[in-house]
Amino acid sequence: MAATADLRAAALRSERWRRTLRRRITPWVAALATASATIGAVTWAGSVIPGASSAGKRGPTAQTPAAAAWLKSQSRVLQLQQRIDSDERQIAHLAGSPLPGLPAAPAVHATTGASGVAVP
Amino acid sequence: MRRPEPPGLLSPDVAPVEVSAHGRAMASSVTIRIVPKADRAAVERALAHALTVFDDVEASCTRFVPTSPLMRANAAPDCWHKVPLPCFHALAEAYRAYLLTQGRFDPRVLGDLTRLGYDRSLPFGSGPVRTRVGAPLRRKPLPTWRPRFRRAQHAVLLGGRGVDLGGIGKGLAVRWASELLRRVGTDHLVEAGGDCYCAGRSPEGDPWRVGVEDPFGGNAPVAVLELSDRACATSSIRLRHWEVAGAQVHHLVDPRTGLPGGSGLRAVTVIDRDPAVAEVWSKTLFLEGLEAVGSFSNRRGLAALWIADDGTLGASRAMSRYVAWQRS
Repeated sequence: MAATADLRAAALRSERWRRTLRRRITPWVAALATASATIGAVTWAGSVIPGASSAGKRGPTAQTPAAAAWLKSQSRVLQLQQRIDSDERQIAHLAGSPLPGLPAAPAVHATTGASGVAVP
Repeated sequence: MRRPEPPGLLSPDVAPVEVSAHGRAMASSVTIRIVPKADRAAVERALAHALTVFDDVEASCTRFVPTSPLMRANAAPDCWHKVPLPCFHALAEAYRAYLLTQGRFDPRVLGDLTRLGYDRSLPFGSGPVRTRVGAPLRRKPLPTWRPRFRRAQHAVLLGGRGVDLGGIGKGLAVRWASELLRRVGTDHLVEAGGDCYCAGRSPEGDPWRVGVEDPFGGNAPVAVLELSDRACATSSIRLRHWEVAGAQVHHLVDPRTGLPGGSGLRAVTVIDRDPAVAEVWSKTLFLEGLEAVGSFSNRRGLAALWIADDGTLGASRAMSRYVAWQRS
């Protein structure tokens, strides 16, 4: 009798544990599945991230840690490129050069402003 | 003042394309460029005479010399004072501007400038400037200004408060210099501290091109204007600003409050037929602030261009015909 009760208790504990485990890992499994699907789409269609240096090329095989790392690095490259472009525009503006696409100011005979110093 | 530059290695029978002269007055550089229509000697005499106009205006209208005719009148504003002709005309012009702008332009801000610590020539442009005065306080609007003039004696009675002729003196000097130069060349440019008068055409045959300075200190202009028989003047806080009790202030004082005005603006440029009038409206529009400068200038048909604190450009409808290029 005691043995049957022990077995029943053990089975009950085991079932509770399985339920708990299922509850905890299900979200993980879902996320992994999504990530795998995304990486798979990128590597299948070539790079879909604009400005990525490997545009048109395929990255590592989908569903591998290397694919995730490659994806992350491409995103970082894009961010850096955008920041460089922004900084270059700012530097060009401060240096007096016209912004990209804007024709340069014509030469002037005099300047109106605080100091009136003529810009050659 | 520097003498006019000789035309160079040219035969005396050949008229030079352009002659220029440079000087310094009223804490500003002065430049004159002329396409001469007379003989060289006459042109040089006219240039030298035009440059002395600026010296004469400064000598009689400066507030930084306690014994100047203006400051003697300021010391006793309820008494009659005989003043030199440039000072008399400058005061009359200032009163005319006061009436024209319905009090928005009011030279009786001398006391406010002094309270802000601008009671002497400050070293603007050579690093941060600080004055040891108390925190600026708002005051009530000034009473109506009623100066009196006796034209025959060149005498004035200022009435109640001292005045600062500020930029209007410079505008008048540009006007008078240009009138002198017309005898020897109808195509000329007179520029003093950012106030310009462009008569006729440039040596290349096109309208004169005037760059609008970037009030944030950039090397390139924010706009280029094409002018012929027009004046332009700019009110800007790029240079004349300083610190008072931890607060940044500038020289464009609102007569309604006694404090620096022009909320949201860095600079305003106005084009007019007359340099003194352009100067008056540039200051008046600046004091209107960013919210009202557009509607005010359009309502009055003024050709105005302004730069806001965030760097954006704005212009009135009447300004569009003068703008040859702008940054954005």
